[in-house]
Amino acid sequence: MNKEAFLRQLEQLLSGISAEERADAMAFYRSYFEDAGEENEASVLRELGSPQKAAESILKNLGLEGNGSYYNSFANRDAEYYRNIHEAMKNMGMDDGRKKRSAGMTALIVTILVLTSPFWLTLLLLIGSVLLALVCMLFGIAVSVVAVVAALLITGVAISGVGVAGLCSGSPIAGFGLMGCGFIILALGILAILLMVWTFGVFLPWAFKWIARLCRALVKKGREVVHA
Amino acid sequence: MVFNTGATLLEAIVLAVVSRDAEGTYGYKITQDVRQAIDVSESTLYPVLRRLQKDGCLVTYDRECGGRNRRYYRITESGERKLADYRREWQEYSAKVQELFFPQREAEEGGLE
Repeated sequence: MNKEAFLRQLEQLLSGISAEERADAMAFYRSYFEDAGEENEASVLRELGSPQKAAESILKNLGLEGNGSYYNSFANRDAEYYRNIHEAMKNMGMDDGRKKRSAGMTALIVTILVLTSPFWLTLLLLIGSVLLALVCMLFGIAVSVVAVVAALLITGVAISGVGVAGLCSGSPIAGFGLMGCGFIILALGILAILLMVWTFGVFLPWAFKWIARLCRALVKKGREVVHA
Repeated sequence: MVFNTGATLLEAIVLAVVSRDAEGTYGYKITQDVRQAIDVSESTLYPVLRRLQKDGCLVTYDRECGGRNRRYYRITESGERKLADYRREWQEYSAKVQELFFPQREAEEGGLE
């Protein structure tokens, strides 16, 4: 590679950046070669490495601009930097290899998934069935709880009604007794409602949170074991 | 050279090199001068110059030289201030490192040299 080829390639690699930036960089490197003189052309080329290397340091610097110190911004080289590099590579007819590797990885993952499907499909089915059973069970419990509460309320009202009727029809003792029973049953029903509200509003969220925390702790421990 | 030159130190060195010529100096010469002191890849110098230029520490101008234009870099007033800051910081920093590396035991040795 000679000086002209180097400068030409560098210009192509910098085609992703603004015309002003590109012109400034090109002026620098052209001037650099000219000042070094023809006799030093080979050593300058060797020192500069490749147009890719020179382009990369220019692009990196542009990606860094305007966001604080060199090192901070180095850590968050933004998307623009990668876009520039990628575009530059594309212009040079190169692939950055990242895509190919990820495609290979995807193929490998798919193959592994297919090969192990008898195992994990069964497992998935099993987990699904268990979950379904759990949901059904919870639903059943909920329905029966509601039924019991409703029965308590209805019975309470009915017995109280019978008591009031008895009171009016001339058997005050039986009437008062029945009314008392009715009120007690009604009170039980209301208590059951309160208990239900508390269960769904306070206890269950808390229980779920606790279970989630337990699961997380187990996973973490498992990971530590794997690492160790 | 086993010690890395960080971006800030490199910036300070380039500023110092450019400030030696009141008229300004050009890319190739700056690179050669910097490379007398530290081992730095040639392709890292341009970004430093560009950054200093954008920060207003350096200005560029073209001057005819042997039938072509040569790009000169000259330090600005704000560049001079920054260089003064760098010099002071460096003096503190290097004195501390020096003291850690070569503790002076004046009582025992009567000072160095």
